[in-house]
Formats: sequence, C-alpha cells, structure tokens
Amino acid sequence: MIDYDVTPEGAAVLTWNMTDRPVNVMNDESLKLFAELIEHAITDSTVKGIVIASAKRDFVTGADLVSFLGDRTPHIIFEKARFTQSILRRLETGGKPVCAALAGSALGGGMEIALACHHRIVADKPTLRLGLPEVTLGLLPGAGGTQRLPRLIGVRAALPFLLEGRLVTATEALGIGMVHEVVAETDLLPKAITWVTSQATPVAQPWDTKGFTLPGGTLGPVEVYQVFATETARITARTHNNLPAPRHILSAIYEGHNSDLDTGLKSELRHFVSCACSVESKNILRTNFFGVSDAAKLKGRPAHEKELKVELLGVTGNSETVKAFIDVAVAARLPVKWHGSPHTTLPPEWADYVTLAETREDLQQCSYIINGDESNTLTDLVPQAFLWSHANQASDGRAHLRLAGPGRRLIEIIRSNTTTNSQIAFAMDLSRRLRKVPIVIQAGQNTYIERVGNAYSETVRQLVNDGISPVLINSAAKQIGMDSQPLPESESARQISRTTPNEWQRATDTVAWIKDVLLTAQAEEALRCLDDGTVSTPLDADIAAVLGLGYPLHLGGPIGYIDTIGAGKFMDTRASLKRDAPITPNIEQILRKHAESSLSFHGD
Amino acid sequence: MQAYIYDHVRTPRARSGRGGSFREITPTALAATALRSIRDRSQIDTTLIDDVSLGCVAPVGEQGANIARTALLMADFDQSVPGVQVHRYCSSGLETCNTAAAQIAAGVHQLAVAGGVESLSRVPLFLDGGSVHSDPEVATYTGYSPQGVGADVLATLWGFSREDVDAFAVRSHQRAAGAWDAGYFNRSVAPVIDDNGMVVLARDEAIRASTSMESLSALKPSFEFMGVKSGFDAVCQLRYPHIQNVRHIHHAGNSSGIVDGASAVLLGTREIGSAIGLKPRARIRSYASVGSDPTIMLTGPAPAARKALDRAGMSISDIDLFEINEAFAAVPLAFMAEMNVDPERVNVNGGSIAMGHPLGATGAILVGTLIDELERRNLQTGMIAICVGAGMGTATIIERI
Repeated sequence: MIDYDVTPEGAAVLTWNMTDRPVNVMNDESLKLFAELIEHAITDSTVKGIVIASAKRDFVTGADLVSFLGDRTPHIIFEKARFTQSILRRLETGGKPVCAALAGSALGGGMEIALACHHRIVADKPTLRLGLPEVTLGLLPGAGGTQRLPRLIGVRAALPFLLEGRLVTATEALGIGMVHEVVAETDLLPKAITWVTSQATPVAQPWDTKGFTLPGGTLGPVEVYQVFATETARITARTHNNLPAPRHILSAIYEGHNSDLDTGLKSELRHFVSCACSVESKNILRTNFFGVSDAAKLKGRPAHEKELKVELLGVTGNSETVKAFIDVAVAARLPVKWHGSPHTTLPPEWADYVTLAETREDLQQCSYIINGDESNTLTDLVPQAFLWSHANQASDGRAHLRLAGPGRRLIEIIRSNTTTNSQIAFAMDLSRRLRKVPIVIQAGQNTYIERVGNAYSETVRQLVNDGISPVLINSAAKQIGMDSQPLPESESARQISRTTPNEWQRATDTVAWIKDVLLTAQAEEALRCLDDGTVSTPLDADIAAVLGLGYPLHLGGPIGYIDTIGAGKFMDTRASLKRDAPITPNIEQILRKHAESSLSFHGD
Repeated sequence: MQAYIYDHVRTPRARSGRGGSFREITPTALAATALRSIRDRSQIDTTLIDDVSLGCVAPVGEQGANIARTALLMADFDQSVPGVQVHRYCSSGLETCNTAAAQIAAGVHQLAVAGGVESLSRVPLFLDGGSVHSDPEVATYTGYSPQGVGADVLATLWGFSREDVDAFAVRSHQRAAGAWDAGYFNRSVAPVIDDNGMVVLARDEAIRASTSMESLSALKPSFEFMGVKSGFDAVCQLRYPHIQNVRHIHHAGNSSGIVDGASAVLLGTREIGSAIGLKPRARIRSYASVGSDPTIMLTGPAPAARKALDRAGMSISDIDLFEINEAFAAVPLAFMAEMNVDPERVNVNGGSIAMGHPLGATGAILVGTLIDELERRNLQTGMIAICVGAGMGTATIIERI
C-alpha cells in the first residue's frame, strides 16, 4: 500500500502504491499505515530525512470520499479529519527534513500532503497539475490546505486555488512559490534524497519558525476588510449563497490566517465538518461526484456488449436538431459524413471534420448513423445503424438519441420495449465519444428532459399570464440557482420607477413564493416520470436535470430537492402555494408514504 | 425630571484628504478643543460635570483607549470627571446627547457633556476592523454591502435619478455657503488653535459655493466598481429581487464629505442651570433608535422618526425643521419621500454633503445646528434623524424653551 525503503544515504522513501486501486487514495487503512511509517521514520535514528513519493502516475488523489463520508455524523468526520491533520502535523514538526517528490499530479489531499512537506520537487511534465479542487466537489480542503497555502504564497494569491479550484502546471507553481524545484522526471528521486540528507537539522516549516509573517506581510484591518468583504460578496454573486463550500473555505482562511498553524487547523477542521455534513454537500457529491462521473464512465452500460469504436459518424437530414448533433461531433473532433438536402453547403466552421456524402451509399463506411431524415429508414444500408428521430417514434426497435440544449452535457437515450441491449450499449459508446453523458429513458410522448423542462417553462408562462413581473421570475430562478434566466431582461425595468418599503417587502415575499412554485413544478413532473417509468432511478432523474436543464446542483436534482426539504414539507409547500393544478393521485400517495415513514427517495 | 440643553459648540470641519487642515492635529486635540470651549463659554466649574461622553466610530489607534477620558484630561477638566466613549456608528454623537438626557431625566446626572470626535485623516475608515463586514460568515448572513452601494440601491428603490441626487447636493453646498456668509454658524464654531496660539482652521473647508449641476455631472459614480465587479449589487439584489439593475448615481460630490472634527453639547437639569446661572435653550422631547435593513444600512431614519414621534405623542407635521444627515443624497431624499416632508424644512443650512461628516461628532453637531436655526427663525420644534451603520436609525426631537 505504501512501500518503505531506507536508502544507503539515510533517506526513508515512502512510496504510495495502492496496488488494488487505479489511484492512491487516503482512506482509513492507507492513512493508518502512513502515520505508522512516518512515526517510524522520525524515530529511527538511522533515518536522516523522509521522501514521500508515488508509484502511480499521479501522486495521491485525496480522500476516498465513499469511506470518508460513509457516516455523516459530525463527530466521526471530525475525528477522521483530525487524524489526517495530525499525521501531517507530525510530519512537518518531527524535525527531520521531508521532501515531496511529485512525479505526477497532486490534487486535493495529495497536494495537502505535499504542502506539509518542507520541500517540494516536481517532475517537468506538461500534463502535471497541482491544486486544491475540493471546492468543485462541494467540499473544502480539510488536511491543512486552507491554512498552509495562504502561509506559503499569501492570502490573496491563495484565494483562486481555494475558492475556485484553480490548477497550475509545475512551472506555474514554481513561479508563485508553491514548489521549490522542477526537474526532469529521472532526477526527481535522486534530488529529493539528496535534499533530505543534506539539511541541517532540525528542519521546521516557515510558519513554525519564530518571527514568521504571511508572505506580503500580515494583513491589517483595512486589508482584511478589502479581501474578505469583497470575496464574500463575490461568492454571493457567484452562488447566491446556495453553496456552503466557498463560504466555509473563506471563513477558514479568515479565522485562521493570522493565528498559529495549530489554531488555524482547528478553524479549518470545524468548517470542514460543517460543510461535509451539509445537505448541499451531500447532494453535490451524490449527483455530481458519484452520479455524473459514473454515468460518464457508462457504469450502466449493458454488460458483455461489444464496444463500438466510432471513427466516422454518419448524419442524415437538415433540421436544426441534426445540425446540433454535428456541432457536438465537431466539438468532440469526431469526423462526420453528412447527407443533408440536395443543396446543402458546408459551413466553414465544420470544414475540418465534416464531409458531404454525395449519395446514401457513402454512409456505408460510417460506424454509426444519426438519421434525421424521417422519410428514409436506412435499415437496408448499414446493419448496425442507429437512428435518431422523435421519441414517440421509438417503436421501431432502435435506440433514439436526444441532445439536450446547446452547451448541455446530456444525451437522452430513448429505449422502447424492443430496443436491444447492444443498441443501448452502442448509443452509450457514441455518447461518450461525443463527450456527453448518457441517461437511458423509456420512450413516451416526450422525453424526461422535455417533460421537466416543459413543466418549468409552462409554469413560467402561467406566472407571466397571472401578471407576475418578469423581473421577479428571473430573480427567483437566479436565487434557486438555475443557470439561465427563463425570460428576457425587461426593458421597462430599466426605467425609473418609485417603489415604497411595503412594495419592497411584497416583492421579496413574491420571489420566495415563485421559487417554491418553480421547484415544486419541476419536482412533481420528475416524480411523475419516475412513477411511470420514463426515468428509471431517482439518481438518473437528478443527473439528467442537472446536465440537461441546468438544474441547481446544490439541491441534487428535482428528486434530491424533495429529499432535501422532506416529502412532508414538500406536500405542505405545494398545498400552501394556492395553485390550481390538482396533484396526481399516485404522486400524492407516493409522497404521503415517504412523508409518513420519513423515507427519502435516494435512500441516504 | 427633564433634560435641558444649555449650550453646544463644534470645531470647524477639515477635509481629511491630502492637504486637509487637521491632518497633523490629533483627534485628542480636536476633542479637547470642543471640551475646552464648552467649558469656557459658560465658565463651568468642571467638578460639577457628572460625565463626558463622546461618540467615536473608529475607537482604535489614536482614538482608542477611551478618547473621552483622554480628551477631558487634556482639556484640563478636573480629574474627578469621568469619560466614556460611545459607538453607534454615524449617530454616536446623537446617542451621547440622548443617553445624557436620559441619565439626567432619570436623576443619575445633573450636568453632563455629550458630543463626539472623528479624525478620518488619522484613523481612516475600517481601521477598527469588525466582523460585520470582514467575517465571511457574518457578512454572508447579514448581507453586508458597503453603504455607498446601499445608497445607490436606495436611490434605485425610490426611483431617484442622477439629476435628483445632484440637485440635492448643489442645494446643500449653496445653503451651507449662504449660512456661513450670513454668519449663522459664527456663534457655535470654535476655531482650532495650536499649542503656539496660531489658528489652524476657523471655518469649514469642504464647502464649494461654486458647485453646480454642470460641475457634478463630470464626476464618475464611486460605487459602480464595488457594485458590479465586487459583487455587492448581487448581495443587495438577493434582498431586493425586484431590482433588475442597480443605478449607480452616487459620487464624491453627492455623498457626505470625509472630514475631521469634534463637537460638544452641555446638558443638565433645570436646577443645575439655575444654580450656575445658565439659561436653557432647548429640551430633548423624545428620542428613539431602531434596527433596519443591514444590507442597505440607510433605511433607519424614517422608522426611527416614527418611533420618536410616537413616544412624544406627536405627528410629523408638528416638526418645524429637520436635520437629516446627508450620508448620501438619497438618504434625506428617501426620508422626505417616505415621511412626506417639505424640502424647505430640511437641512436648511446645508449638511454633510457640503460641510462633511466627521462620523462620531456629527450627531451632536446636528443638534447644535438645529437649535441655532430654530432660534434664528423663532420656531419651536425640530427633529434630527440619522442613518446608522449595520442597519440602524436614530432620531431625536428637540423643543425650544
């Protein structure tokens, strides 16, 4: 798991090498061993210094989130995170020189190990990246990252890494002082061994040395105001205060940057636990970290089906939908053979990847055909052809594909009762080749995304008809966290109009109501899709809504939203909205069952 | 028991920017000037003074460690006189008058000095820190936004245009310049004199009589960058979701001037006045402080005014003259709109836009300005209302005797 060797020069080399996994992760077992080996190296008088390395392509990728967040009880997460912190603290205060030898990327927890070393040497590889991307997972670096990085490069310089998950190359890291040396990969270990065996001991971190000040100097009260008040507002502008992670990260920096490291680590720990135990963090991890990444890796792909290698994609038809597919293929650098209408001309931006098919027979060489020409079945042409058309025509045994809107990562694969597993598998392979994430749904009048999307836009339309201000509707969508505005910006709202404090309050109340109306409409339709089998699991429903509609991730998805507030509260909210639409009896029954037994749809 | 106001005095207000007259004068010296003056004008035996309370909004550095006690010692008050520093942001100086009045009314004090001091030259804004704006948890929870952005939001909410706020600013300068020229302030401004007996400054130096709509139109909005780029517009829009775009119309010319200055007000019982031969000029009829929206931070004056009126059993039409602190032009404009007040009765001798806003001192300055003007016009009742940081408001009703 972690190899331990002492070189003739007296360097203990700890090499992370988790042979049973594709990458090195920090879990209960590896951390326990890591702690023991460090203790051994520090106390073994024949060891002069310690090198931390990896036998994998990358260093250590971070915590094993499955094991780490298995139990979301605050005191359990607190103890686990504190244990990790204590290992790294022991590493940097043991007195012996410690060097991280980074042959590959060090992200998240791996970077935090490296930051606890006295010296960091990085291999000169263009693909190597360093950084703390925890924030993008809805978490914060909990192994000292929020404390050591500001002490290493200064508070202002550390903010983009911690708040936005900025990653840098080895050379960039060297330029800003995140690492000490960039060397050829073959020199990495020798240099690290030389460094740790040639230091005067005891070695201490700058922040454990008397007289330490933050790079750029201690922040005075005016600078504290400038940095933290402004960053707080930027987070609000970016997240509408829906995401706990950025705020907890900023708080950990604020509370810890001016104290001794141990105190700073305690601040970080408390914020880490709050964030990790938040429902938003749970939603983000479930839908994004586990759900989307599994779906992108085609985890649901039918087993034992031959893999389809798409080298040339055939496309027929001339509709906007067809062109959207070609856009996606071009963006994914997939060559396309296009059989459009007789007068089709090739747009210049497609020229590198798209060629025109003179005749239908030209499509014979394609490994997959997206058929947008409804008059032509093409079944005679390519035995394994896969066809696209409308969902309600999915009765011909083929898998049908539906691309979500521009810029969206989702492809809905529509299956009918006759669709074979191999067709589903091929459609998934094509989706991956198009750099999209597939979700398999059942054929019906409309696709899942169409239905939930329509429920949303129809609700918006009704609100407008009821005389609700478009500005308020857009504000509500923004506050929910939808990634686009449902209505165009109103010109009239740019005019000067006088409002009074009573009207201010009414506007605030109205927006709160609109938020509930919009969220309820989407969740209810998603629930209906789940009930009638259009979508097969709550997780699929959530992933598809996030990727296909820009549904806010912090709620998990429309089903995650019901879990977030609870089925009982959901029903109460629905009843309090005073909208006309009656609830479908099965939906009411499902909700009631969940409410009465406090069940969640996701079962977590 | 009633609390009476016997006298008041202030220093001139000096621009705190480069070249400002009080840049080398310490806040202790400014406060001591006001305290010496209030003592000498009435020839008070300072052993009779029960307390000296001074407002100060950044009580750190030179203004730290209880500047009221420090300044009274430097003003050569008897060492038996205690001092206390008070912080309710921009109404601190009014708060000292209110609490002194309450202590007098309660029989705790017989004679007290209220007032305030602020040297924005020597203790700049935000030097005192504070979690309300700098702690991410607090600032997120309370929706912190700088007051300048809040002023633009307030203007947007009430539908004020750039012309509206600029016109108000022009009037402030014209009224202040006119009042100085007519000598209305002469009686109550004590020149600041250095240790060598040389006059440092005898008149407010921020007023520009030449201010016009044209000259103001050249000024760029001050808070647009903070609003748009730093995200504070979005913070405000979370609370005021019907605002599609914040109209950034405040600038250096229609916001209160950043200045240095100090003030002092002498309050006491009727009996102590008779005993030492002083004639009361006014009494504090009622006062109130309220909390209001912590994001805009400027909407407190109207609810504070309503509360103070309610406590006094009065209505807004009973008030002859108003001093509404001109933190930003939108603040008095919003007050007038919300309370339906005639602009001819508000800030008739100009205000903080023209003369400046020495934060901790301002409240007591407005009390004095109002008493002088009520006397000059032979009117009876006046109200001071001030918007307060972190979302508060303070209002005081005074009445001539």
